Amino acid sequence: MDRSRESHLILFIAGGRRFAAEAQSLLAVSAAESGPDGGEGGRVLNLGGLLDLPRVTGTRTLLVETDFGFFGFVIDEVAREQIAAHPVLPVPPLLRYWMKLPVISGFTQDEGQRLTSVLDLKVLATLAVSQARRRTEGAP
Amino acid sequence: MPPAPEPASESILLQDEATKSLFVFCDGRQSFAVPPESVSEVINRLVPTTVPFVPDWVEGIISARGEIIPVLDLERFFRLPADDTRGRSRLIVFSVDEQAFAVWADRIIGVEPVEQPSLEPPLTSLPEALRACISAQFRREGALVLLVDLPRLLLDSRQQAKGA
Repeated sequence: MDRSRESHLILFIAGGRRFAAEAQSLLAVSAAESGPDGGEGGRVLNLGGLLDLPRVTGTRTLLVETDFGFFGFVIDEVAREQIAAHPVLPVPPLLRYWMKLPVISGFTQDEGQRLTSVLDLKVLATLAVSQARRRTEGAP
Repeated sequence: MPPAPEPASESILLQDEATKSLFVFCDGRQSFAVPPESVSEVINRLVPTTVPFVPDWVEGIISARGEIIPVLDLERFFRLPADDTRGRSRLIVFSVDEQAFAVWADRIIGVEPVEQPSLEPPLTSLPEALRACISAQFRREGALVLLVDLPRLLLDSRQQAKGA
């Protein structure tokens, strides 16, 4: 049984790893801006750092609007395919249970059978906000 | 919170059948056994894709038959000493309560008959995390084989993930 759904995704590299995001969740893809990782007033985040991956000077920023305002996620680069329709497989219930945060909305697989996690950037923005608040509350 | 399941060791040791068929495999120096009906398939070496924000014992995911299957590292899950003899040449996909997951094996022994009297309660000297998920143990060619209670393993994995 094919459980996949088709979605327009943007494929990109962050922290040296390949990820995807649903195009409908993005406001824009712009040139990269450097910025702090989180912080109450910092709206530009290095996605690799947020995912505990190596931080690399990125070339692009994914702009997302959330309940907490606008966020820009700096990524290493956009994959050549830009935005295209891809089948997205659901996160299996067991893995969803194991995940500390629901930052993945599904997985896509290319013709070479390579799997790519589809990130929920709005959930990541929420993570960044909560991390920033914890830092603020912990500050003397 | 639902009550913990009763230890499976008592029920499996009291079963009437004289011989049980068990699927036996090796992961490094440790041999494990599971009910053969829980084995969906064996996949030759695939490199799991890592996934962010999961416990360290979730090695990643693979795709098999159009389905995403998480890979659980038994050594890390049970907090076993690092075993450099692990070959990790195959992935065994289990299906338990309609939930699929995979673990590494470097040798597949296959389905073997095990005499009921040879099944013993798990050693109390086993690490606690491991002993909780072992129904029984038996000897095969001098080596200790641990019969894994897969439903209990999944239950413990959910509890570990919550507490991580």
